[in-house]
Amino acid sequence: MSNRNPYHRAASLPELLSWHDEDFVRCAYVSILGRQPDLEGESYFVERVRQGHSRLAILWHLRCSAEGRRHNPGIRGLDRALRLAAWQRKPVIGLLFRLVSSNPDTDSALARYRRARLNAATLERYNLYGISLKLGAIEAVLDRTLYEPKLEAAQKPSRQSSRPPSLAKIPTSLKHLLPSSPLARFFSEAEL
Amino acid sequence: MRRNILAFSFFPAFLPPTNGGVERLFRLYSELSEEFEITLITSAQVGGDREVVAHSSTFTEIRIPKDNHFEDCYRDLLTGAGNGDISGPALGLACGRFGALHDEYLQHHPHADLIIHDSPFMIECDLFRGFDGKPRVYHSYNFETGLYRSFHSGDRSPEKIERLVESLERETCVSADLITACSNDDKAAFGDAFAPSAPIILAPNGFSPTAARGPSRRLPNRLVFLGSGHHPNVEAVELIRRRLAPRLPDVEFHIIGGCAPAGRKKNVIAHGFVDQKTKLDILDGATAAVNPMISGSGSSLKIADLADHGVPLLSTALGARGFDLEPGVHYLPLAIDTLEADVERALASTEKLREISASSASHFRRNFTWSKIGKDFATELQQLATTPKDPPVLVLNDYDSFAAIGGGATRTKGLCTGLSETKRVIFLTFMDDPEGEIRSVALGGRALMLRVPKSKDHLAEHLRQTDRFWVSTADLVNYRHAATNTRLHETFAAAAALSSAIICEHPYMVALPRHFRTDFVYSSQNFELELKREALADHPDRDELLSLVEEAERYACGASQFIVAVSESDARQFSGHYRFTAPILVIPNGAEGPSGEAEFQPDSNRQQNRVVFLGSAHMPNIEAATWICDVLAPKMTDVDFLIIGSVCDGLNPKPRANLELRGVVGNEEKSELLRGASLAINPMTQGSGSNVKIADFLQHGLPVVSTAFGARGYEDLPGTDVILAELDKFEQAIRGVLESETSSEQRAQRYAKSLSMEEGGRALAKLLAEHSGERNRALYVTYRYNDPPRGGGEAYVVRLVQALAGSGWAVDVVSPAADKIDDVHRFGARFTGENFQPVPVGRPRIRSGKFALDEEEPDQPALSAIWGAQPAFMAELVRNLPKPKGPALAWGWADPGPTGRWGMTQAGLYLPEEAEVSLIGRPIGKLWLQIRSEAGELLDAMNVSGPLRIERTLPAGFTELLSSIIERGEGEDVRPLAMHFSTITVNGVSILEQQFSDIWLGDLAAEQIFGAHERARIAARSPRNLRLSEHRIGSKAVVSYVEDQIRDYDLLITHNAVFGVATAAIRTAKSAGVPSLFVPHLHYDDDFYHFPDVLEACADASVTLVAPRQLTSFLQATGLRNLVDHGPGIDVETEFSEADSAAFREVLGRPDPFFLVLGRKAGAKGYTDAIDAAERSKSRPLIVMIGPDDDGEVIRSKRVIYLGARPLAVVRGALRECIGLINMSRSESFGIVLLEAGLAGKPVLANRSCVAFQDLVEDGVNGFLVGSDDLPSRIDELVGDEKLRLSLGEGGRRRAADHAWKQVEDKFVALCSGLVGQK
Repeated sequence: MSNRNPYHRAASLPELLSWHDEDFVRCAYVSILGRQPDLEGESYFVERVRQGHSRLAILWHLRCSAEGRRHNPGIRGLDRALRLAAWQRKPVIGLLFRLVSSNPDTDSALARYRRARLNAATLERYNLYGISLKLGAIEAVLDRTLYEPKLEAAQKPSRQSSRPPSLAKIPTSLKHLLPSSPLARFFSEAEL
Repeated sequence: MRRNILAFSFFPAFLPPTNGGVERLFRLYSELSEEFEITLITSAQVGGDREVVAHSSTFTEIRIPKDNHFEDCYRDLLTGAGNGDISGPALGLACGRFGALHDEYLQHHPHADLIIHDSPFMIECDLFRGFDGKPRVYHSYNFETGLYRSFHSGDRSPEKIERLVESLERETCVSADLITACSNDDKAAFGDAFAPSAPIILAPNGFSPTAARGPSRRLPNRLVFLGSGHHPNVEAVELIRRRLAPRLPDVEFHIIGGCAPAGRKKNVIAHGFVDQKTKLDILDGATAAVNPMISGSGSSLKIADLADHGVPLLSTALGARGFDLEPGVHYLPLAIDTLEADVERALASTEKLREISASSASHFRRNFTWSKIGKDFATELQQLATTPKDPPVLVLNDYDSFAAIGGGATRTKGLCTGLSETKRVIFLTFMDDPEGEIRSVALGGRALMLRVPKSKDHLAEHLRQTDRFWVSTADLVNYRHAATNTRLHETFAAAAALSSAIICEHPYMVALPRHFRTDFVYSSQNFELELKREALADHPDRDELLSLVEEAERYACGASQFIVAVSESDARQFSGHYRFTAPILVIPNGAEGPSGEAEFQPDSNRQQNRVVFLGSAHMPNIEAATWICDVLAPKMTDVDFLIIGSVCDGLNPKPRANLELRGVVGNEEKSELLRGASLAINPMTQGSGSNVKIADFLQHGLPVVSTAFGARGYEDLPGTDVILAELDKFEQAIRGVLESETSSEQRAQRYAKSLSMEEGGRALAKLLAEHSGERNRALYVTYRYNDPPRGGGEAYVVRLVQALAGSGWAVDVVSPAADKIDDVHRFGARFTGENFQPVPVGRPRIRSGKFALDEEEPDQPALSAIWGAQPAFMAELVRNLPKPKGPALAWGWADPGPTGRWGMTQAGLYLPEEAEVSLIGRPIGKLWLQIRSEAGELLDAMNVSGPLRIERTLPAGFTELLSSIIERGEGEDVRPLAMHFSTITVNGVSILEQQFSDIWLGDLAAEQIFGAHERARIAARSPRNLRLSEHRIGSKAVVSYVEDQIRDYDLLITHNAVFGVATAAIRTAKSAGVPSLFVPHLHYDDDFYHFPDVLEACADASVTLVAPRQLTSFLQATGLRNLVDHGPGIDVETEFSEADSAAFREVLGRPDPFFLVLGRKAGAKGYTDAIDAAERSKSRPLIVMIGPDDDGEVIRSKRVIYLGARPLAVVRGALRECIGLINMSRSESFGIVLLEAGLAGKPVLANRSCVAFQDLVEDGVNGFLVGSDDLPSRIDELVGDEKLRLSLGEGGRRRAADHAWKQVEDKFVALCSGLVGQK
């Protein structure tokens, strides 16, 4: 793990979540915003991670920012997973979403405490290679057994489709080829 | 605005620069980035990640690691390599296959204004060179061809690298618009080797002056050499080690850089790579620099570096090349033969070394700073404007048509060839071979072929499908993967960005324009859905595959700019099957023409006639060929049968002496075989599209015996060239042709051009031009759009809309998906539609969209409300009309039925004088009946619950029967029915079956009729706000579409005021500020058209076209100011021929003279009046009726022959043959049939109470206006007076000429054009 570079964009959500503490924030910035974090942003989000705030919530926050919306992270299934987690964290309706998930993302005090401890344990693992390694290992096991299989299942296409996974944003270089007929445009949109 | 440069280098711009090449790369682009936006794509080491290095805000480098394929190429070249690095050539080889470098290129190409190659090794990444109009610069560092020739002269395969480098560099030079060379030697070498047309300029190496470091501490007898691992440097180090070091033991040789591994050996100290400070320390302490170069190209940047640091230079002339250095002034020359002595002498001349140092430093600072070189280069680049070349057309197909054989491939190739005469073509397709050629140029340099490899998943799915069923579904697998192949997407996006248009051959690449939502042309080859339905009938995944075909074809038809069909039949299939269709235009199939020498000599070695068939492994072809093998060949043993093409792969016949399967052959061989044949056959019984092979046969001079099905698309060819026969008559037809003598050569010449597919390509280019550019756009909203049009009003407006599109407008037609509209309780309408609903095709710029029909029935309470007011409306109407002479039913009476007539809750009678009236009937339920006089006096009152019989005297004037229904019987009629009368007599005479219009409207002037209706509306319908069109919409989706999209149109056109889509569209257009043109088709003598919403629509439109003239005047008098009189049109060129007469007589089956009744068979058309009159006339002529059966009523008269709907030829024949035309319709928009009769020179007898007819018929000039009373006598008059008939016929011709379509259309187009700008 220590050989990896947090400033390289992550190719999947599990890879992104394999980072902790400030490395998580760095990788999150690079992956979600396409740039390295500024000092202020980094310290703010590192503090949030250390307080035990959900890392999925932090990613969703970055993703929903104006800057995040302009950048395509290119991580399949990311938005869906983050959106689901956001629903799970909602106060009342979130219960429904949490019921159908075996590893829901919550914002309870207990969950924050647990996350804060795990994050600290990961730091200690880096720093001390000591007792806390066990806690870090627990998180890794949790991620591997509960979260990652679900994410993989969500990412697997249920049936091969002729439709692209997502529509391309129309490049400006193709604007001259946009259909001039409103009826053709209407039909295309309806078909898509 | 700053222009974008996309540059390629086969090594990265590492910092600090590790050698002269890197130095040049970084410094020069840094300088250029002062004026340009630079994106530099470089090839980095194997492994690692893509890196983006921002050297500055305007200079970005993207480093792409080399991939495994590069390593394979490297290993491959290593076997033939001599000395020197081969990573450049290996990269050049690797770039022949798609990789990350191509991906990066595709991303950046659309934004690049100028493309620079810093080596020839990445030229193959530059896919669009020569086709994008973007200037190319070969910014050379060396004359690589010469350099690699000197490096790699190994003895194993010495020419391999040489040839590779030479071909890459030649391509780079040929593609370039400007070439830069580092030295005059290189410049000359480029000219000699490649003779490029681009100018070659000098862009020497330079340096960046460093800040002074204070006085240097030069030590005696210390020489320095700088050099990278570049082979010429390594050679120079060898010279130092072997010759100089041993001969000059007192001198220390310090070697810096990758040219030698670090270490000390006696007086040679190799430092390897050092940091900048160490380098400067070594240079500061050096007596001089030695540079004994014996090979190399370009120029050595280190020379500038040395001069900058004040190090005097001892060099061979070769080593000092490229900087205009003068020996003895700027450096001390070394000769290889006297190397040692020259160095020794130089070290002794301290003063001379100092002079050289100073003059060299001054020379370089004056002429060779990167800043100066960069500015000079930038000036040259600024002069390279993007060439304004005509943009190419991007053609997509899921297989490489240029490498395939078959009708489809021939068509695509032919289209591209014809197209390429005026447009350059980029052809993008899939390829199976991942190592295949990704780029090539075809059609004499006018076509760029790009082939994107299929992904592993794609190939695997293809194999799975192949295992699953024997009929290929490769096209559908391709369709699916075209949607997800990102490399294909990137290539498409970059190619499309360059192109003016996109053409999809087949629908299987349609995922690309769909993904990017671009416009495209759908160039079809078949009606794919039908074709696949047959081919995949037994496929285990049939339903899923067919849904894919339908999805692809539906999108291709609905979203494309226009559709090219191969035949009228396919065009009709597209338009009928798919609800949304672009303009559909036909380009028939053609062939690519014979190859090789034209000789029409049958093979003299053969004893028998040879009959040929050819085809691809397409299921219908296999069926046909199987029939030849199994049926025809065994039967005709005296004839040889030859089958050519991949169709043979699907055959497994019994061996026969007279049957040969030749399989796939080259074009020349095919031509030779066809020329040697006597006849071609085409026993096709299924498939779609049309058979290219027929054109191919004819172009080779062969007559063709074909089934009619196989010859679709060639119907117009003479029967001597294409002989039609059913399969059971094939043998007979073949023998007939073989026995006749025909000239193959003449036939081949006859079809050389007309059946050439290239001609189709030219036609396609013309269509592209006709559909390009900005143009006015109209939205035509209609309640029904079908081919043929179901009614005269629809046909009329379609004709006008087609004229508008013909003048250059683009028209979108929207309608409910209906082909049948039934009235529901008279005022409501039920729209229904078959699945197959063709629309008019063959007109550029007219597309159509049919929207889903509403499922709910018309609103019963609303219709009840209209009917509830109907008696009051009619009462007001008759009170405003002159009183009839005899007794009459006045208001509140339904149409007479077979057993009597319904009276409504308010039913009025009119008696001119007191009379005995008998009313016998039965109430609808229990009711309270009052009989009141005109003055309101109660004449009688009674409870009625059973049979009713009233026989009494009623006073003159109006009498009203008022029924209050207490208990209603069962029934769903929305009319306020009260009593059903079986008898209504006045003084013993029945008036039960009176027609309202006959009695009340009769001979009244139009203004009088209009005015009375108008007043009735104002009194009875407007106060209740009763609206008609709201119950006659058909599809609310049409209304929503208009609401959402109207602002994108320049004009709304709609018609028929009694339909909701029209009135709603006008309202929407008015509120959106879009001009509208309305053709309301008002029958203002009919109460049906007198509703407030009808009049509002007429008033709200920008222009309302009205006919006849009396109506225009009337409406203008009521205050409408937007009216334009616009009468019917007629094709005055129509000819009524003998053949038409024959066609009609064949249908009629008898020679009797007759009167013609033409038009829909519906009650309102008054055909029964014509029949009655014929029965009552003395001459009792035959009546022939032609037109669709709308009312389904049985005609019992023996004097009538009803032919139903008939083709135009039969109708023309009927007009030509008839005595005259009778039209007793009570209400018409135009009455075009009267003009058609006039055009045929026939008199007309037309209902005088129909206002539209009053415009068209002048009594005694072209016919007579009649009522049912005088119609019999007029019939007799015409039957008996031929002179009169001729005279009226002439009058008819004159009247028809006044209504020529051309005039009507021109007026319409002018009106539309006048409205544009009012938006």
